[in-house]
Amino acid sequence: MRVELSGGVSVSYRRGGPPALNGVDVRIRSGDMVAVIGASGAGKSTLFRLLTRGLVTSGGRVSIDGADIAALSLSEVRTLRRRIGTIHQRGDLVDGSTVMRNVEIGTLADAGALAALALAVRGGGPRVQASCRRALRTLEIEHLAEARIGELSGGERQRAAVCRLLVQRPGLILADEPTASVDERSAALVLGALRALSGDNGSTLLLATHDIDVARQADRVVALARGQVVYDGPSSRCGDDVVRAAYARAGDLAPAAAT
Amino acid sequence: MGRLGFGTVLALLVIWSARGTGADPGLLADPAARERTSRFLSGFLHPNLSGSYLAEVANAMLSTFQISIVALVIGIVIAIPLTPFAASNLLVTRTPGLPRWRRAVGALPYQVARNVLNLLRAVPELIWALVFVTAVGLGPFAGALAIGVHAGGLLGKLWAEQIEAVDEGPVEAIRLLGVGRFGLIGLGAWPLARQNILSLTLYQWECNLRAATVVGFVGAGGIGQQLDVSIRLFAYSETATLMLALLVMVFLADSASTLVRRTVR
Repeated sequence: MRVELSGGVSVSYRRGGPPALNGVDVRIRSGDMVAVIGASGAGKSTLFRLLTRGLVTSGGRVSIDGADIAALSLSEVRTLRRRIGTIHQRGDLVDGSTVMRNVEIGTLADAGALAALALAVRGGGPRVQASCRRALRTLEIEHLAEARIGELSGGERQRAAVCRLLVQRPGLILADEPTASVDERSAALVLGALRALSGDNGSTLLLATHDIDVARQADRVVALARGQVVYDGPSSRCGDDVVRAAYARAGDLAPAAAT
Repeated sequence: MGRLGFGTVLALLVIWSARGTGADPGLLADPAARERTSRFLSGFLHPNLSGSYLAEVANAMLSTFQISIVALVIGIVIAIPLTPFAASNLLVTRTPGLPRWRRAVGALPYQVARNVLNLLRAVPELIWALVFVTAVGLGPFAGALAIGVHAGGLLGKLWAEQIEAVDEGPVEAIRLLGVGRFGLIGLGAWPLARQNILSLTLYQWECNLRAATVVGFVGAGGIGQQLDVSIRLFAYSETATLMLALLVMVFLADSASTLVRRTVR
């Protein structure tokens, strides 16, 4: 999916309050993998909430595949959201349910209203289960299919969350620090799977991260500081100076890799 | 308002209420009252433990127990369809950027469900019992209906609050996939709140049991009806037996629900 922020997109959480995003213009082509870096409070999460219409702009225009999302009706917003996959630092899975059930939920993106109830009552059919198992195998957690989310380690949770994305096959993936606080092996598997989704499925991938090594694996880096874009260019040219500048401006500590 | 002023208002409120209720500690010390009280209490020294009477009491206890069970089922049947609409975090119109009228229309089912639950709950079981005794006649079914309707209002509110209290992230993630209200409950809220919902439902059953002992006073069956009769006939040794039986029953119910809670966990 193509994402376009134009006309200087601005967002404030309170009327007259300080802007969380301020005059942002970014164009992202379909299938691109873009890392978004910046200190806490720089506007990364705000940008993501904007794209799922969890927020509306106070200025500028956000369009996805050419359509202004501010003009969408409730049902169109729902359709848009089905095509967007999200993954957070916390994983956002249902604790009391099994890994399998949580991954199966990903198949609901292109299913009818009754499918959710059917899934809740008797689980997914053989087709759904097979595709979920494939995803679990890719992330090396097939043996945990029947474990409850609450029993998993942080890394395993995150892998399960990526499995949900794999069965959902969204057109746009918003990954908010998916590899923060997980073990190395999990981080590698998570990033690998996200990258594969972007490459094979043509999903556009927006990856918010503090980890510069992770960011440099993207095609492009957008650096935010205090709600403004301070760098937008190829990751190969995103030097330590850029990173340091982005973090220094926020009065925050630069990440380890950049110091 | 100063602390002194507040204290004065409080004292006036208590005095005014005491006068209104005709509170008079002297009445308790009155010789005639003392005589009546001691006669009532002496019943506890000689509870009626004859076999035939105990059988009668056991019957009344069973009937009370049955009322509490049927009332719980009625309460659950009432609460299930209302709860999904009474939890504010399941409102579809929380999407920002919607026109005001769309938000208001979206919140309508929520308002209706909340108010229905409030109404069911606001009317005490005894009043419902009077209503249902008129409707279906004297007997335990009227009691079960009365307690069940009240329980439905309570359960709906308690369940909805449990659903509102679940971790927002997982539910939001499922909502973003376009899943509606009922799917959100089945896949998100229920697995997350199951424990608490079961526990509250058991507690409601205990409350039903206590209520089932009272509705008998207005003719809606159970052990209360026996109590009412024995007190009216000044048969205090029988009153004593009934109250001891109540004590045993409430204790048993408490143990039973603790046991169930532990096995469900």
